[in-house]
Amino acid sequence: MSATFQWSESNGVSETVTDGISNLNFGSVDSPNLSPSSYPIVAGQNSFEKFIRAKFSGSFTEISNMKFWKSSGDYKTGEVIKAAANVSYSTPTSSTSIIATSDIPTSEGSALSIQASDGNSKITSPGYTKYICLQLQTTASTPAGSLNTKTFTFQYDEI
Amino acid sequence: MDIEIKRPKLKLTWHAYFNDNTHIDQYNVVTNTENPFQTVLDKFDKLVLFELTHLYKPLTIKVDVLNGNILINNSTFILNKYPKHNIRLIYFRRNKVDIDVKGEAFNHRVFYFIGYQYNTSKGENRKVILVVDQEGNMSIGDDHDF
Repeated sequence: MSATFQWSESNGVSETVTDGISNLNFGSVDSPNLSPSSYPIVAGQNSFEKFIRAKFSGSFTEISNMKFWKSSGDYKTGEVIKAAANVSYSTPTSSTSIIATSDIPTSEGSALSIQASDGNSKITSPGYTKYICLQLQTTASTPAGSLNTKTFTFQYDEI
Repeated sequence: MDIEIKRPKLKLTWHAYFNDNTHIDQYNVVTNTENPFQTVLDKFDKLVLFELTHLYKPLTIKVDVLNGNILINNSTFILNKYPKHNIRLIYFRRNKVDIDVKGEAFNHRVFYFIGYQYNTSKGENRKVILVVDQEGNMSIGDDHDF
């Protein structure tokens, strides 16, 4: 068998892990697969942080060269997504993140390099990567209404 | 809503041939099992030919590890005729998985990197890599492309 890939998100004080999330919607609640219209972000405020990981299951020889970046989707005025890679889990907050403090890379060339959960650059048995922390931040000048759809890409090499 | 996202079905599968007249196929159609690439790595010093075959199109790409040639549908693609030393197979699958913010679209793309690396007479390391997508479209690149 080759590797099976899933996105995983962690939430809550005691960390509830949800494997196989279906989207990465940001909002005003700490929850996976949330509906943005139900949990809008007030202009000038931040989304709750997202702590996501890649999960590899099945049978494979080696996963390597793991990268993560925002591959498409323009920002609106005052909007930015902050990111940090290879961090530990922390209870998500909507205060300005002290973990995700850098603008997320927007090209493969500057992508975040992602480590296995043990800190190695390669995964040789089923498991997770380290956490990626994301937060969508806005300013008072961010226009009301839906933001543009963004796409994030996770890349890995498998043998 | 939890959705398990599995990798796309691989459309190109490998076959490895060794100098002890044995071979290993990625898929054993009799037992319906898949051999991990580790089984090739375990006999890497005996590898003489590595082949990728498209399941649905008439496309076969072979790497002649003995001589440093790539054969596409049995036509030889010769990079150059300079001596090649210490020829080693290059093979891996590059996966790109997307997830959307706002929306639920996923996109899992697979690219096959196949070729070889060798040392020149001056000891320099060179790589020859073909990149093939799931539909069999090919590009010449290096391991930083795609």
